[in-house]
Amino acid sequence: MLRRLSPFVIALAWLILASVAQATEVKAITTPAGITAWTIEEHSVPIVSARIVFKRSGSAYDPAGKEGLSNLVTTLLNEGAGDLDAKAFQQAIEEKAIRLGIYSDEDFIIITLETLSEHAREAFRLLGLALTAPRFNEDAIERMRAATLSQLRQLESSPGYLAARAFRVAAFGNHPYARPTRGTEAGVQAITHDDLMAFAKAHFAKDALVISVVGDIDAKTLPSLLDTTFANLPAAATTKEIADISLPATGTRTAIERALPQSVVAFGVNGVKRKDPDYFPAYVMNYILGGDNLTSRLSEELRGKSGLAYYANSSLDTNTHSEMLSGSFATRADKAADATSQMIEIFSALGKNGATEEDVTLAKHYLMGSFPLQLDSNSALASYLIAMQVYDLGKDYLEKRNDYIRAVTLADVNRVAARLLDPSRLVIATVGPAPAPTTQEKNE
Amino acid sequence: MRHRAMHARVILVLATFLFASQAMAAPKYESFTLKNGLEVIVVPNTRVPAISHTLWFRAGAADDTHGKSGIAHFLEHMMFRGTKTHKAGEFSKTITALGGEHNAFTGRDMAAYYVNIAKEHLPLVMELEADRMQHLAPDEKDFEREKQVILEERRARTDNNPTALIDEQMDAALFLNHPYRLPVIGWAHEIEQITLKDVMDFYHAYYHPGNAILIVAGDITAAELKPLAEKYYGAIPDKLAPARHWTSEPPQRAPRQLAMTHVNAREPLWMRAYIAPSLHEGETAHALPLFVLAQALGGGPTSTLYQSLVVDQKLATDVDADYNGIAYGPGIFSISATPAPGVASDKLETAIDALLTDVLTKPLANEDIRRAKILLKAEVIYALDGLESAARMIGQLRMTGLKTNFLDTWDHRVDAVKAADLLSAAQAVLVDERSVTALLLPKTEAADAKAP
Repeated sequence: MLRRLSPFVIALAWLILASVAQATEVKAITTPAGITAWTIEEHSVPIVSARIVFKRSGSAYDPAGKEGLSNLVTTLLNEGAGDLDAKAFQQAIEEKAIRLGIYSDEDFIIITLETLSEHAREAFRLLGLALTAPRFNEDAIERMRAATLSQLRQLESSPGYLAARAFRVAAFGNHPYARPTRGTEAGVQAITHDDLMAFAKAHFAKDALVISVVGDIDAKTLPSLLDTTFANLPAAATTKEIADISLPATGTRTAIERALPQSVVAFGVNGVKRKDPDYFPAYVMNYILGGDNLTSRLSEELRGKSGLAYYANSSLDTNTHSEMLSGSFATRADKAADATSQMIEIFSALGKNGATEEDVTLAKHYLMGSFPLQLDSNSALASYLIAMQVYDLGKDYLEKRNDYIRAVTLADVNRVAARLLDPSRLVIATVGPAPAPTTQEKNE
Repeated sequence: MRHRAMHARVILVLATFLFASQAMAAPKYESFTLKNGLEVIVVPNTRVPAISHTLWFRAGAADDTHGKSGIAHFLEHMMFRGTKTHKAGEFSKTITALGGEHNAFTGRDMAAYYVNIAKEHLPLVMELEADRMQHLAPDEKDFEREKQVILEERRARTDNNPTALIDEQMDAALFLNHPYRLPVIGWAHEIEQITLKDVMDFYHAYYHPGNAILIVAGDITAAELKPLAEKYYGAIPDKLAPARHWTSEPPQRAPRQLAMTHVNAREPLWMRAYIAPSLHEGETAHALPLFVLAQALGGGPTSTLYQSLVVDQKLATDVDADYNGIAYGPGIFSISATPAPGVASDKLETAIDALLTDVLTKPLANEDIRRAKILLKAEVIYALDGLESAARMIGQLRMTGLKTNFLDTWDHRVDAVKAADLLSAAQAVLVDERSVTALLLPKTEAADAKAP
C-alpha cells in the first residue's frame, strides 16, 4: 500500500540507519594468548551474553557408525568437569543463575553463555572447565544416551521433523549433511567414553574457536578472562573440512506415509553462497517469495487467498558447505497435492516472470527498516557477531548491511530468481497419508 | 556521541559505587490512565531507536461464548482482515513497508496485538490501532477463508501432534466446569460453527479502551507518549465490557485418569496435574511458594524429581515440574515424566507418588530452595535484555489483575518464601483425589494383539 505513505514517512525510515552504527561498535580483540573475540560493550543492562562456537564440530563430522557423537557431547558438557561431578557442576551453574546452553547443528558446536555481569568470571570459569576437563563419567553417559534415544523416538512423532529429515536425505544423498543432527539410534548406542574423550581432544582447540561477547563486559579484564578460560585447550584441532555439496540438478519427490489429518511439505532448491555477489538479491527475492507470514507470495496465495495453510514460508539456508533456498507448508491431507501444485506454480512464476518494482521496494523497506529491531539485545548481537566471523562479513557489517540491501535492484532480483527458481530442480518431501489416486490414475 | 557515552559511563560507575548492594532487579516504567479508562504503561529503553507498542485486551478464550470455543482467537485473526477505511491485509502491508514487526497472540485471559517499529512511526501505528479497535469491518468471504486457516492452525498445533492432543484432553479433565477446560484455539467442531456475527459481537462487547492496557516499550518517555495517546486513543468512547462470570469448579472428589494410545506416538509420556491457586485467584499466598516448589521439585537436573527418578532410580529418562501461576483464574501445578525403556508407567507413578508424599510431609532441602529462589529472581533481570521482554512480562502480570508494581517487589517476595510455606502450599495442592493423571502410549504390537 505504498501510495498511502507520504514520501516524508518513507524518508524517515532511512534515518534510523545512522543510529545503528553508534549503538553497536564492534571491537575485535586478540588476547595475549592469541585468542580472538568480537565484542560489543553495552552497559544498559547488567548482563553479559557470549557465544562460543567450535568449527568443524557439528553432526556432519560424526564418524560413520557413531552418528550422534557431536550431539551427545553437547549433552554431556554440563554433566561433570574437573573435580565437579554432574550435580556439583549443575549446582554451581544454578548458584549464579548462569544460563549455559550447548547444542550442535550440522557444522558447529554452539555454546550460549548468558550471565549476570557480576558472575561473568565464574560463568567463564565453569565453561572453561567443561571444555578442558570434561569427565564423561559412565553414569552420565548412560543417562544422556537414554535421554537422547528417547528424544529421537519422540521426534519420530513430529511430522515437521520427518519432513525436514526426508528433505535433507533427498537433498544431500550420501553427504554427511544428510545425517540427523542428533544422530541415529544405532550410532548413539555405539558411542563410548573413549569416543567422547577423543572428540573433545580433536575438536575443542583454539584454532577452531569463534567467540563473541556482548554487554556489560569489563573490557580491561576480558582478554585475561578469555585466556584463563581457554588456556588449556590444544592449539590446533585435528579436524578437516568436509566437502561442499549442492542439491541435485534434477528435482525429486519423496513421500513418507503417516496417518495424519494434515500433511507437511518441505521443499527446496540449491541457493547462493554467503559471499556470492547475488546473496543480497537472493535474500530480497526470498523475502518476496516466502519471507513474511502474511505478505509473501506463498502466504498470500496459500493462506490469504485459498485458506489452505496456516503457514507457508521459505528462507535462505546457509551451511558452511551448502546453501539452499528451502521452505515448508502444511495443509489438510486431502489438499496436499493441490497445495503442492500451487506452491510450484508460485515458485515458477517468480522465476519466469520475475517480481514487480513494488515487490522489491516493499521488501527492501521491510528488510532495512526492521534491521535495528534485530539488534535490540545482548543475546541477538552475540549471535550476529558469530555469523559475521564465520562468514567473514567484516566488523562493520552491522553498519553496511542495509547498504547491501539498498543496492539491490529489480533486475538483480529477477536475475537471481531466474537462476534459482527452476521448478525442475525442486526437491520436495511430503509427510502424510498416501495420496488418493487422481482421476487420471484411476482411469489408466 | 562519544562524549555523551563517556559521560553516561561516569554516572553508571558512581551509581554502582553508591548502590553497590542493590542490583537493578526490575524494569523501570511510568503509567497514566486516559479519561476513557485506557491504562497506559511506558517502559523506557533507549538501546535501539525503536518502540514496541502492545495493546492488551482483557478478553481471552475463557470469555468465549458457551458452545463457541475459539471466538477470542478467531477475533485475533480477524483484526488483520480490514476496517471501514483500511481493507484486509493493508494493516500488515503498511507495517511491514515501514520495517515493523507485528503479530498477535491469544491466551485464556487475554489477547494482545504488538507492533515493534522505528520510533518515528509510532503515531501511524497508534492511528491504525485506534482504527481497528473501533472500526473492524471484515467481510463474510474473508471470514470463511480465515476459518479454514484457523482449522489448519489447529491441525498443525494439535491434531497432528499426539502430545498436544492428550494435553488438550487433560485440560478438559482437569477443569470440568471452568472455562479453562477449553482449548484456546477452540474445539474443531465448535470453530466450524462460529459465525462472523459471533466474532463481531465479541469484538463489540470487549474491545474498548477501558478493557484494555497499552504498553509501549523502547525509546520513549511517558511525557512524549502522553500527548500521542490522548490524540489517537483519547477520543475513543469507552463502553463497559461484560463482567466476567466464569463458571467455577465444583470440588473434585476422585482422581481422574486418562490413557491415550496413538498410532503416531513413539514414546510413552506420563503427566499429572492439579488445580492450584494462582497469583490472582484462590489462596494467592501459595503462589510464590508454588513457583519455588516447581523449580526445586522439578525445574532442572538438580531438582528432587530428576535426581531421584532419573539419576538414582533410573525409572525415567526425563522429568519436570511446572507451575502455571500467572493467570486470572486458577493456576495449574503439573509434573511430566518419560518412563525409561522397559519401565511400566504404573511403576513410575508409584515412585513419583512416593516422592510427592515426602514433599507433603518433609520440607525440601534448604540448599535446593535457596537455589530455586536465585533462579526465580534472575528471570526478571534477564528479561531486561531486549526491546519487548520486560514489557511482555508486565503485560502478562497486568492481565492477571496484578498491579504494575508487582515486579518491583518480586525479589522481596521470593526472598520471603520459607520451607514451611512450600510445605503448606504442597499440602494445599498436591492432593491425590484432586489429581488428573494422563498417559500417552505408542501403539505396540502387544497392544494391538490385546485389542478385541
